[in-house]
Amino acid sequence: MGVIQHGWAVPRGRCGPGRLVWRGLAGCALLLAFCLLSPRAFAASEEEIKAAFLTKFGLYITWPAGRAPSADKPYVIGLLGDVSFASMLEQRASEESERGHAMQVRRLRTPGEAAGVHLLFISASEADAEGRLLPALAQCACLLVGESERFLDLGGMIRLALDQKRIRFDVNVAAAERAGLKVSAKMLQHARTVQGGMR
Amino acid sequence: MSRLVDLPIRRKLTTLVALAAGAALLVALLASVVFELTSFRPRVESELRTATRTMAEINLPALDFDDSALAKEYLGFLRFQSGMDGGALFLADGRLFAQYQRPDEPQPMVLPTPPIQPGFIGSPGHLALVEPIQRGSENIGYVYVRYKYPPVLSRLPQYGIMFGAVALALVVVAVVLLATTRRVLSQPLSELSAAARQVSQAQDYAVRVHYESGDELGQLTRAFNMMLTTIEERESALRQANLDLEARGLALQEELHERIAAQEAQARVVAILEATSDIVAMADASERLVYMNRAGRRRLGLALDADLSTVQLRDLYPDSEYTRIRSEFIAQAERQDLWQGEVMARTMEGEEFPVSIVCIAHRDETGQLRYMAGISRDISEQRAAEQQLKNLAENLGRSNAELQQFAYVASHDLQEPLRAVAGCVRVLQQRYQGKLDASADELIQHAVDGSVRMQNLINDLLAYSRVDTRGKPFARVDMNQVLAGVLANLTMAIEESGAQVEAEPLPTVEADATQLMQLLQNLIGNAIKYRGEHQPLIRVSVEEGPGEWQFCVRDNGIGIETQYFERIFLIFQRLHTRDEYPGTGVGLAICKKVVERHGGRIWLESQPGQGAAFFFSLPKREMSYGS
Repeated sequence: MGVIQHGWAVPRGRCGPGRLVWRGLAGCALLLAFCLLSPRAFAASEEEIKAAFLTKFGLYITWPAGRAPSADKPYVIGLLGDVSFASMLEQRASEESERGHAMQVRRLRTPGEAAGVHLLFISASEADAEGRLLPALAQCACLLVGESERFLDLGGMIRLALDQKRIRFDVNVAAAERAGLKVSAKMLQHARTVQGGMR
Repeated sequence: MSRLVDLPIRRKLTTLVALAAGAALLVALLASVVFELTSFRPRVESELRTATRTMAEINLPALDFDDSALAKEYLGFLRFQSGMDGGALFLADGRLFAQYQRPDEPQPMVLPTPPIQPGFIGSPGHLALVEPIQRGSENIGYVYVRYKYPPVLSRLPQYGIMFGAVALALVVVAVVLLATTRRVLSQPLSELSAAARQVSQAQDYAVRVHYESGDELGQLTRAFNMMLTTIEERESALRQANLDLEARGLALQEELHERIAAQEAQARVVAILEATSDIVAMADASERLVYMNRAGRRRLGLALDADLSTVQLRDLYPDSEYTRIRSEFIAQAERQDLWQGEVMARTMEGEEFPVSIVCIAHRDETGQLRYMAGISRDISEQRAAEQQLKNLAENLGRSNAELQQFAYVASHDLQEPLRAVAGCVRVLQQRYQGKLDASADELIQHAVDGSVRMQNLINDLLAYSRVDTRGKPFARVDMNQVLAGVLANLTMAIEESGAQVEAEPLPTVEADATQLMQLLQNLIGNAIKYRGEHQPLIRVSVEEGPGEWQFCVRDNGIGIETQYFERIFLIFQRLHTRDEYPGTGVGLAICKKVVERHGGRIWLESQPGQGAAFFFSLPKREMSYGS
């Protein structure tokens, strides 16, 4: 404290109130340092993040004409397999809808139910079936989001992954384009890896 | 500034332009400062808004995809925006998502804490803005951007350059303005001023200023030139008048000097008159005294401060004398303005005394007698002295005559018995020489010598007294003949001594020839007698003096000491013993008496061993006997 006081050459007359200010500043600095050291301490759970991602992806994807969600066509998220954050997502969807952005969450039992779905999330529980599922879904013009290692290789478009305790995503632009989807560059900036693409 | 009035106009203009430029500069400075102060904050706010919106826009996907690393990177773009030194992103619930701070910024950011309120946050040196990030009505989070006020110093160079440029522009404008004003105003004014100065200092009214213009300066110049023309004309008239006046002044001064000189001369004359021991007095035409000097007042018994106007001429003389003065002086003054005579004067106490007086008449231009002046000398003492001298001379003459008579009678009467004694002694010697004893012979010889010497003395004394008593009347005497006679008488002595006698041609004089022969014979005889070892050389010469002849008998004999020059002319006085040079000591006394009888003088020049020169003078005119 003394060093700071000295270094900042605070006039003696303002010593009393100044000390309080510096004390406060120092406290804030400590708090900030703590936040930086453990960024995820306050962060939401992986499920929450994943749910949030699923709701946000739609904002950066352009669907083919007629497929895109609009005021009277809600943004529909389909879920395949065991999705732990399904209820969390539903909660979000209802919030979004209340906010005016109509959003629906559908739990699918089969890929055939994917018609009208804008985004289809395939849980890691379906990893073994992905080899079969994905090619079938290739023509449904929906954004295929998954979690398995080989998801993108099998024709998936976005793969969520845990990387250093953070949820990140990889994008297979070529797969998306084949399905007639355009992925916003803004979103790609945040992708961990991008495969294919126009380039 | 109080002396601004005294400065030359050029300096005044310079000062005023400088003041105007300075004022303009100051106003510009003030305006800039005010503008800066009033516009700075809004500008900063606007910039902050732009920054927050930019940050919100580019960070929206990062928030969506929980990419705080990239968000931090994007926030780092703030460093490219001047003044922005840091920023932060918050989630909708107020949790910090990412932040960036310029690495060179020492002061850590004080970030807002939940609940986050959008708006400006001011802190010393900084202004921050918090804005919500929204997509539609959904609140995604908050963006925070902080602006750091630049230190005032950092802005100074900008202001310095700006004001430097303004000042330079002002200087250029001022220089142009000054050059113009100098050409248009100062130059003609300076010329006018210089001309006026030359006029006032050198009195040179021929100066003209050449400046053609219709403005006030042109009018002033024309008026100035016209004024100078007028002054020049007046000046020349004045100078002429001055010259005349100067000449008159000089004349007056000269007159004054003359008067002063005259007064001083008069004062000197008065001082002389006051100092003289003679009585000087002046009376006016009515015989009233107007002046009397100190000596006169003292002698006449007038107080030094007495009022002279109460004294009349008749008070100063006995009545009879006054009458004589009036009749003689006035009659004389009619003709010559001057009268001289001796009169008796009378003091205030009545004492009478003789005066020698010179009277002068002063007349005015018409010849009217105005003043009479008199210079009188008290001659009472002189009179008394004259009377005494006269008595003395009478007594002396009488006793002298008696003495001469006595000497003559005595020597004459002594001759008879002496002749008898001498004759008897000589007979005694002839008869008894050698018949008595030796001492008798010697005694007889002494008696013979003594009688002879006594006879010589008596003869000489007789001759001496005869100079006066038996002198002959003066007649014309040729001194050459006198000298010839003398040389004839002295033939034997001359031959015996081998003396050589030279003589100039001598004049003819009025004298007693016998006595002059006696005189010359004595002098030449002495010259032979007192010769030295050389052959005697004797020269008789004469010079003509004023009213007299001066004769000289010069020899080369033994000479005489100066102390005896008087004594040798006294009777019976001798310088030598009888054995050395025989004689009675009467010769030169006779010479002196002869010369004095002829009204002349006798004297000598000599030095011992170098000869002697005897001079005697004879008046050219005949002198009356016995005077």
